[in-house]
Amino acid sequence: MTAIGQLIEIAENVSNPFVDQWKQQGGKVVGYTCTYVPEEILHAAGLLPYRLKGIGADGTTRADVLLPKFHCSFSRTLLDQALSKRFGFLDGVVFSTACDQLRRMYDVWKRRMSLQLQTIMVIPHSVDEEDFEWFFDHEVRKLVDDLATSLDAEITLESLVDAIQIYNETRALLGRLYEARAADEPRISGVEAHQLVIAASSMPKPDFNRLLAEALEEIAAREPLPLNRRRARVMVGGSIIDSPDLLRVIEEAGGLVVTDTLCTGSRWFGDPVQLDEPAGDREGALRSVAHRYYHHAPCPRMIMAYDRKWDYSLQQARQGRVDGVVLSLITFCDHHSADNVLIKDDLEAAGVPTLILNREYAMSDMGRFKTRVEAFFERMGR
Amino acid sequence: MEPVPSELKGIEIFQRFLTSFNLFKFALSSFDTAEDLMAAAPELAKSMPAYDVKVFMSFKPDLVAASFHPKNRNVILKAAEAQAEYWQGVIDGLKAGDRKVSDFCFTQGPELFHALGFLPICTATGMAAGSFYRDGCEDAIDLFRSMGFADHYCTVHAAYPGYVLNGNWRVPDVMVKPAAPCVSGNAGYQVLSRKLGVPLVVYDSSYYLTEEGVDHQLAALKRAITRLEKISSSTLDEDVLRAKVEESNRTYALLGELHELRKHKPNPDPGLHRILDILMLVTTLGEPSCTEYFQLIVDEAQARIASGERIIPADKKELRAVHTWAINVYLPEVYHWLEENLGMTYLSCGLSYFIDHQIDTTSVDTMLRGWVQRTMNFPMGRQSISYGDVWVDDMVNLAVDMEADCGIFAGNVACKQAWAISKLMSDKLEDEHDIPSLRFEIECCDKRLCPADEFKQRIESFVEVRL
Repeated sequence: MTAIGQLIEIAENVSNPFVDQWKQQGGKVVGYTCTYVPEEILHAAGLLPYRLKGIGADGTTRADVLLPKFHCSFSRTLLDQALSKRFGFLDGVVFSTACDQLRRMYDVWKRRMSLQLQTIMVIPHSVDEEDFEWFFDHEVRKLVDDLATSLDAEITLESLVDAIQIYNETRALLGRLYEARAADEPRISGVEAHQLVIAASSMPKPDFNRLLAEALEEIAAREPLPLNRRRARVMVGGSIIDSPDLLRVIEEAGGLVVTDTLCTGSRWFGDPVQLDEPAGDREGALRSVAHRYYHHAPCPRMIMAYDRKWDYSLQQARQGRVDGVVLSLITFCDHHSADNVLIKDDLEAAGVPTLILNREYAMSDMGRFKTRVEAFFERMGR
Repeated sequence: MEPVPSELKGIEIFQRFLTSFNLFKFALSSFDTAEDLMAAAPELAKSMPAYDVKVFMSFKPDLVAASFHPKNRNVILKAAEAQAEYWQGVIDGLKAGDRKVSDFCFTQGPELFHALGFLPICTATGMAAGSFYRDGCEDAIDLFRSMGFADHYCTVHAAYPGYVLNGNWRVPDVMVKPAAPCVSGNAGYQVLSRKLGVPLVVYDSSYYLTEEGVDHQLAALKRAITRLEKISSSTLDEDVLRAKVEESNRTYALLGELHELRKHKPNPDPGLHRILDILMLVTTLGEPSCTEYFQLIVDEAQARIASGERIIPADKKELRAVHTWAINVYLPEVYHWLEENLGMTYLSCGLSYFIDHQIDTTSVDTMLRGWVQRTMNFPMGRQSISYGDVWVDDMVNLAVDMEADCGIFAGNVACKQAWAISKLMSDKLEDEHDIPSLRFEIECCDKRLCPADEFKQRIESFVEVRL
């Protein structure tokens, strides 16, 4: 199987052979949901960070007993997956205070599940440097302590520097992937590119880096995508997307998703950790990791940071030379509900046509979305 | 939404409140019963300004009727006097234009903003329109939604931007809030900030209700104060802060007393007051009028205990209810209805759970620290920002301590975090304390989701089946 094929298969399933192998070798897996959880620290502690996803979930009936139907379907799906033991490979979870719904899902999770480590990282809501200092002093140190106490997982300067280098390599490789998908003559679809990114959050990074390097060579050897698959260059943003269903709808309508502002996409892997040379001490390396996570392209949860969010959206749209933007909103997601509207208004004012699509985490009724997207392309004159 | 006449631009909602409270003052001090008032109304209307008649006609009849009940009227009259004075002050202040206006979120007291030289207006007061008027504040909510913002946005935070964007409420010079209590609130302010260019000052809320948590929030507040001082062009006035805090200390002592009095069986404190309690706190805390209002409630409750007078009919057995979410803003009169028809009294809720919290007035630092602690523990803020255990434990402890017969969770659909807690809470109440709960969906400031009759019917059925 090609490297691209292997990575796509990983993205299409909750578990995968790399996770199985990790567990067979006695490794521990720690789940997380949010771009503010510093993965390098988990990796440096000898753990496999795994981004929780609900791909292939068979509904939310177990979680619906505990959470109301107007709780977002992403958090309900995660809880349901846990209750149905589809996350049986997890030894721990590190949630974050990303939003009220995930916070409260965690409150239910911790009563129903009994993993070795169950914790939540508190992320302040401002991008003030002083709040970063608090985050570092309290939450990052607490995470390090929790890993040691609950999972017997210690972090050294060497393991941290190693993790930073591996993850920065991942970021660079994913950056090349995004360059390839946004090329004038792209050789990879948005669906495939997105799946490769999703695979990155589901397996050991050294293995991913090796496979992605191979995949990039495979992409370079391909023919450009046919013109009829490039009716419009599109950027996607808004609520979390792991399954590529929405991107598939856009591309089946003749669009090509060339970039994104997703927390499972560019906002997740962008911005490498800046490490001093030489690395100094463990404290300094930890701080570098924490700083990168706290100040990366902000999530809508960060307030008084709209300008940064807007700048990032415009920058991505311009770099991708997009014809239009599709912002999706998982029903009941308050953060993106507000930001999507503001960003749409601002993008339109900047001459970038923008469509907001409401959806559930697990998308169904694809025909409706396809009609909306086709109408959007027509509005754009594409 | 109706366009605002030019003479009321920026003050329409404040003028409506002022007129409303003046009408309540007049009615409650001039007539013995609601029937007397209604009989005289046609003749009175002939000599009243057209605007006053329009406001009078917009009142919810059940609310007016409940206000005349002997157990309610004195307190409502007291509130009306204080509120009329407050809103007159707001309008005069806006017209004078000599102070910058700070709109602030309800989990904070206004004392600090006075000391910073602002004319402070609490954004949650917009909700009062939902409580008083037949048409509620749905027009403002709908205006906000019509701009594309989702209908699952908390209506508490949707009405305010709607009023501002329509011109019923003056565009402030700054908006200030802690990051608590929720996503909806933060996002709503961000929208206004972006759309109208209003500076937004948000300081982080601590997740931890500990001394370290206070340190974090206090540090964030101090940075916010620096920003606010630049906007108000004045520095924090220690003397003003001390005077306001000393007064609010007196009010908080009464809140603590009232909390204890409600534990008495039967509960001597009518539920209709709860919405006014919040309105008084977010507008007049730090003023003698606020202390006098709570003093009257305490005095009346004590007198009832002494005399054996009940707030429910003589033929009713008391059903003691803890409301595990908050006051239902669009239907405050329902608590009077519950007392009269089901004997159900209102013990406490997630928005009326105040305990005595005295602030040390030794220095600016001690006052700010105390003010932060109050903000962190302000009902709804306290429960929303921290672990779910805080909310669950608070409500369960309240129910047990106050010997509740039931928990009523009329939960705001938009409040996702509350709904996640509701199941945990009702399970704990039932399994560990044999206290049954009713859970049903409302929207705090929007009567369309669960109209009054539906609200009553649900509780009535619950009482019939479970109690």
